[in-house]
Amino acid sequence: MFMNSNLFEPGKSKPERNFVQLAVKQNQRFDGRRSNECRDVELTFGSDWGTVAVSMGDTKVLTRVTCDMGTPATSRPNEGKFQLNVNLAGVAFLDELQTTHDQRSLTLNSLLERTFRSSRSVDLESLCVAAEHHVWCIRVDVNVLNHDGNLYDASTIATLAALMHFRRPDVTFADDKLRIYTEKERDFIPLLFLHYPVSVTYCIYKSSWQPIVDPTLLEENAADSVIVLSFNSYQELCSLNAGGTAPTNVRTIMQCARNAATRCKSLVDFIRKALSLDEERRLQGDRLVDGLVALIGNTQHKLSFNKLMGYKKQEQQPTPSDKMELENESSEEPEVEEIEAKEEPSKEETGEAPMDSSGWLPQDEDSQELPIPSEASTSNAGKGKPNRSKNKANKKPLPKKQNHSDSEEEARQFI
Amino acid sequence: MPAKSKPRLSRGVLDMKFMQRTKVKVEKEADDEQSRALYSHEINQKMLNSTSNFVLESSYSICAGLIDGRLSFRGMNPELELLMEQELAEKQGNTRPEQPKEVSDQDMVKAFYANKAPTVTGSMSKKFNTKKDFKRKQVGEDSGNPHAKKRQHFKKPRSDDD
Amino acid sequence: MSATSTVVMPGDRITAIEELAKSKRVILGPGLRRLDDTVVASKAGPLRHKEPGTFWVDNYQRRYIPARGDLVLGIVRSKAGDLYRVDIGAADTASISYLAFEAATKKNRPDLNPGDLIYARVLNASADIESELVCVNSVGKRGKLGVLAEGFFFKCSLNLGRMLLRENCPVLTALTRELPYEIAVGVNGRIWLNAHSLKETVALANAISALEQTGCAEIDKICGNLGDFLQT
Repeated sequence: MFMNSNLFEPGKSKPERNFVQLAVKQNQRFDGRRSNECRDVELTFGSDWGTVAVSMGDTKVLTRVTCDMGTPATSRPNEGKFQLNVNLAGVAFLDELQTTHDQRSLTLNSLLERTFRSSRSVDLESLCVAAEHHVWCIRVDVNVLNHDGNLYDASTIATLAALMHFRRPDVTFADDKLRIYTEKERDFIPLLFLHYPVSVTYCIYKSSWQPIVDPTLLEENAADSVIVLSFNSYQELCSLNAGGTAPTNVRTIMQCARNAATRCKSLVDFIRKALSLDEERRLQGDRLVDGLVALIGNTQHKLSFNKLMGYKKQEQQPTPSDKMELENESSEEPEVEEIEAKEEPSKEETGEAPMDSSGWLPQDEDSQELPIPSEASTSNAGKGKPNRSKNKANKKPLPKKQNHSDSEEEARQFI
Repeated sequence: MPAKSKPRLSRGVLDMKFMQRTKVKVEKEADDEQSRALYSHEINQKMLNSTSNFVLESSYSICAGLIDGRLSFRGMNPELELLMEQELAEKQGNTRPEQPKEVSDQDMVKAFYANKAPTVTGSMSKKFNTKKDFKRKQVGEDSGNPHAKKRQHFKKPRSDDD
Repeated sequence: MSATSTVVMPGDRITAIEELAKSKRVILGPGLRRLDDTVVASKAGPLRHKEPGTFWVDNYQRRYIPARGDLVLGIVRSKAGDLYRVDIGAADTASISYLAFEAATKKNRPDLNPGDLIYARVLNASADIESELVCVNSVGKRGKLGVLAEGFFFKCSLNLGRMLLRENCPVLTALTRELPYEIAVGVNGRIWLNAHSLKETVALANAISALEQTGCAEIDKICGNLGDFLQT
C-alpha cells in the first residue's frame, strides 16, 4: 500500500539528484554552507540524568540512558551490560517500505554499536557490583524525532552526551544483600569512560572530488557514497563506515579523517562544556527542563556548539585551545544564554526558514551567527596532531594507519 | 410497476441488425429496473424525490479557482509563455469586443463578384445558353451589370486596415 | 475570494451554509461534509468562501489527497506493463498510461524512467482505487503538462502550493521582478523550479520555502533579500 512513500523523502528524484551533483561540482550547498562546514549542534539536557536532546538543523534526536541491575553474560562475568536501541519510528515521512526502513535503523544501530560498544568507550568493568551475580545494565534509547540528514552524527553526539550526563545510583553489596541508595542518601555516580568517541559524516559525489561534511537529507540521499568516521577525543579512529559507488581514493579518506579527528575533538570539548554548564544550573537549582515538549520545544534555551565554542565559519578547522575555552566559559556564559533565548524561537521552528525572514537566504549564517568571543576564534591550533600518547583506552582504538585494513572489513553498504 | 403493462419488443426483432441501438437501450432499462428492485426496500421515496442543494467537490483547485501551476516568466521557456499568453487572451476574449475585421463585408462582396466567383454556376449556365441569350447578355453587360465591368486586379490594403 | 476568518474544527456544524443552501445551490469543498441537511466540518482550519456559493476549509496539511482535476507533480516510480506508477505524495501511487502522453502510440512509447518528474492532471480520484493521471488535455495536446527535466524540485506544505496558485497571489509576479524563471507548482505540495543558474535556482527555492513561515505579506521583504543575494 505505502509502496510509494520512500519517494517522499527529498533527494530521490532525478532532478534533485542531478541538481545536487551540479551544486557540489560548483561547490555550493543548498543551505549556503561550505563543503567543510557543519551545522550548528544544539544540546538540551532533561531534568533526568541521561536525557539529552540534540538538534543539528532539522535533525533531532532524543537519547535517554537508563540503568537497571541484572546478571552479567556468562562470557563476561565481571562486566556490566550495555545495550543500544535505535528507534526511527518517530519520523513519519521516512520510507515505510519495511526493508529499507529496517536497513536504515540497522545501519545506525551498528554504527552506534561499533562506536561505543566495540571501541569500549564505557568502562563496563566499573559497572560490576558482584561478579557473575550483579552488574549494572546500561540501556541507551536513541529516539529519532526528525531526520534531515546526518542521523549518524546526531545520534553519536546524543548518545555520548547522554552517557556522559548520566548518573547511576550508588550501590553496595554485602552479605548477599544488594542495597541501592537513593539520591538523597548518596550522590549518584557518573559513568566511567575510557575515551569519548563521536562521529563525523561525509558525502562523496561522483561529480566532485570534494567531500561535503554534515549532509542534509537531500544531500545524503543524492550522494554516491557516505563515509562515517568515528574518532575519540584523543583523535583515534574508532570506526569507519564507507559504502556507496563513488570512487574514493585514500587521499580523500585521509583528508576526511584528518578533518573529522579535529572536529570530533572539538565536539567532545563542546559536550564537556555543555555538561559543566548544565551542572552549574543544576547546582543553582533553577529551571530544570521537564517533559518532552519542553525538551524539544523552542522555549528552552539550548547549548549551541557555535556559541559555546566561539566557532567562526571562516576558519578551516576550529580547535580552540583549552585555555581559551575556560576563559570563554566563565566570561561569556550569561551572554550566550541570552542570545540563545532570543534566537531560538526563530531558528528552531523549521530550520532554514526563520520567522524574521531575513535569514532565509543561503548566506544567512554569515550574518546571524556572529560568534561572540572573537579572541577564541583567532587561536585555533590548526590541524591538531593525533595525540596517541594519551591513549587511556589502550585497548581497541587503534591508530589511524593500522586501522585501514580493519576499516575495510567494517565497511558496509549504505542504503 | 409500469413495466408489466409496457409492450416489449421480441427478441427476434431486437436481434435484427438495425435494432442494435434499441437493443442496448432496452437492456439498460431492464438493468436499471433490476437494480431499483434490488434496493427498493432501502431507498425510500424521500431519497428519490428530495432535491439537494448541496454539491460536493473534493478538489481545492476547482473550489478556490486556482490557476495552472506551470508558469514561466521573462523568457525562460518561450514555448510555455506563448501558451500562457494564448490562455490569457482566451480568458479576456469573452469580455473584449470582437477583433476588428481586416476586410470589411462590403469589400468581401465586391471582391467576390469581381473575381467572378460563382464561376461554377456561370460556366454551367453557359452550357445551356442559346445564341439568343448570349447576345442578350452582351448587350445587357454594357448597360446593366456593374459588377461584371470591373477587372480583376490586386487591391492595395489601406493603411488604416490594420 | 473573501477570506472569512472563521476557524472551524472537525465536527463543527456550520449553520450559515445550511441557511444559504435553502435558497440556492451550494458547493461544499474539501473539509466539509453533508449529513442529511446539516453541514459539518471534517477538517480544522479557516473556513473559506467564494461567490456565489463555494465553501471549503483551508486546513494545514502535508499529505495530499487526490482529487479529480488537480494538477500535480509526480515522480515516476516504476513501469508496470502499460502503466507507469507515479508517486504524487498521496497515500497510494497513481498510475498513468503510456498512451496518456502527446503523440504516444502503442509503438511509440514515451521515454520515462524511474525518478523522472512529470506534471500531470488527475483524471480519476477515488478513495478505493488507484488514482489515474494524464499528461494530455482533452484534444490530445500536451499543453503545459509533461516531463520536467533539469531544474530543482522540493516539497512544501499543501497550503503553500495552493497559496502560490491563487489567482491574485503576488508572490510569483514579485519574484519575476528579480529574475527570470520557470516554475511548476503542484497542488500536492511539490514545486519544481528552473532558473538560468544554479545559484538563482537555490535562492528562489529558499525564497519560496521561506514563505511557508511568513505568508504573502512579507513577499516584498523576501524579494529584496533575494535581489541583494543575487547581486553578491
